[in-house]
Amino acid sequence: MGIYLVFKNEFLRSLKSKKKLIITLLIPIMAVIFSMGINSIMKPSISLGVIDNPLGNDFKEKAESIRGVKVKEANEDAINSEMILGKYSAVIELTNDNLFKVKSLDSNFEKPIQNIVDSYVSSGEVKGVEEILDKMEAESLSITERAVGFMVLTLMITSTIVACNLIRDKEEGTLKRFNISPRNRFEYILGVYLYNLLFTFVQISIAIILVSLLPMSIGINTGDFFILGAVISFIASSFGLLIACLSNEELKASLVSSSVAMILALFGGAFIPIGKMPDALQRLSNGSIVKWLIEFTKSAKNGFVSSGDWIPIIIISLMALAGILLSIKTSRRKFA
Amino acid sequence: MEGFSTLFNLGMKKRIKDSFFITYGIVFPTLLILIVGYMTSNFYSGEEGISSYYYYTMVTIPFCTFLQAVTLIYIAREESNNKCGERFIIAPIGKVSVVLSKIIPSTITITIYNLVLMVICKLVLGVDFRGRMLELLILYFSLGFMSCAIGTFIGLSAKDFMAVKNFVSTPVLIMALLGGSFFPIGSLGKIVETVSNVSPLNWVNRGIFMFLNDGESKTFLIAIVITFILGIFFTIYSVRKFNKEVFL
Repeated sequence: MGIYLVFKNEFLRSLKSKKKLIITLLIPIMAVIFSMGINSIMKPSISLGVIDNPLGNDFKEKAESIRGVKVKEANEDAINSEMILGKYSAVIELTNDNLFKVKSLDSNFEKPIQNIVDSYVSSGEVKGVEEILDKMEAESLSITERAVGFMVLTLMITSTIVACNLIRDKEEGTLKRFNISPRNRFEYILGVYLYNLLFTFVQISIAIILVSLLPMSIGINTGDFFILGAVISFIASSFGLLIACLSNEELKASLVSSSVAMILALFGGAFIPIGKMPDALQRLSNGSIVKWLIEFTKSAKNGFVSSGDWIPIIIISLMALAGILLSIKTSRRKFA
Repeated sequence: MEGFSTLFNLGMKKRIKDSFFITYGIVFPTLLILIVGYMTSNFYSGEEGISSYYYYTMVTIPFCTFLQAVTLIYIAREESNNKCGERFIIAPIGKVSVVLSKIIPSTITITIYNLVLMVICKLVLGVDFRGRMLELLILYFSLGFMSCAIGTFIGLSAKDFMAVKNFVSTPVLIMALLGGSFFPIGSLGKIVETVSNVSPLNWVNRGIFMFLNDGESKTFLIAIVITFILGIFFTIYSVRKFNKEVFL
């Protein structure tokens, strides 16, 4: 009963300031849709820059007939910065010795492209690009995995903001008053948590519905996406509650949540596939809940074919529950 | 400008030992550069000094400088939080002094911390600034000024302060994404390239790389001018919108 009363109080409180409610609800939704939009256009591709088109239009036509390959005339004056900023995967130029030289910042990329160019020079055919694209596809994150990674990062931060009601309640003395009532403090914490969980799930649901209406591929069916949304809400609200319980000030909670969420997302492979990280980081990534969310996303996409597919959700549940229990334990000083 | 020098000295003393400035000006960016740089070390050959640490040093310092706008939102209202707002209302201090005493000390502190960060990256990670540390510091000063002015403007002028303050980090993250602070976005096509022009971090990062790696200073200068003009614009607006009563 106490949990329900706190939940109801949180809900009624949110209705008091309509403007704040709309901002709180809509900004994460916009961020999630924006991230999905960006992720839906991120497909493995090879963009080759050519200086003075040394291989001629035939190479350009043959290379661009392969899906995912683009050949563009590169600006020699800005070539280094454009490679650093990712505009070109590699640049082809004709050296003074009349050799076709490929330059790339990624040494794993330079040699295969050089082989393709050499092969074109000798045979007139563009061979081997598909293999590189297939390898890139296999090693990179899928659209769904990227979208899920960015969603959980955004919602971890915004869930903390909602959970910060606890800090405000402490400052206003509400928690002290609650503590001397016949209710237990865990009821208050769980009431705040349940409200946050539901609020986050509503945000994700709206985002999923809007995305399904847009001409945007997210690589998973809407039903499965709702399941993923529920898991993301569970993770984000547990995280938000823990940070709010550990922090004394809203500023601290806000900044700690942004940085910790970002580090968890990075370690968890939300931006860079875990398989491409150095070994030590691959082992360390097991401690990030985001890694297990991405593993769960893979299982959901594959349709949970083996019993091992359920391991990620078990680990997620244990981690999130540990977060809730730790929140209840550390909240003692807030009620003092 | 009544009382400016006193408030400036007080602001400098507070900011230079502010734990949030130290954490988010030095500790967090250092950790981020170390983690992401190590994480992506397999993606860069390190040829011509362009390693993963080089890339992430160049994009993380501007990102964290821009993120300080969030801290400034709270600093803008610290008199209210410290319950000393009434004294500020009674004291013969001008509006301009109050606003500038928040923006200028914070900008100077951010620039000093950025210098410390550059030295750490140079000595520990071997990042090569191509002898352009002074020019980069000027850009960081300008960007820091813009961030502080935006943060102060939001903090002092937002009517629904509680609603707004929490969501500033979200647009900053989006700007950072568009500026390539998390990963290079140049391969995402024309639409993203066009949209990314709205992000000041895109101009700053592009300007830095073009200046250091291609010797082209035009974009770098544009980035300095744009951020500085935006800083002045938001400073003027902060002064115009500011009422001492917000400290109550």
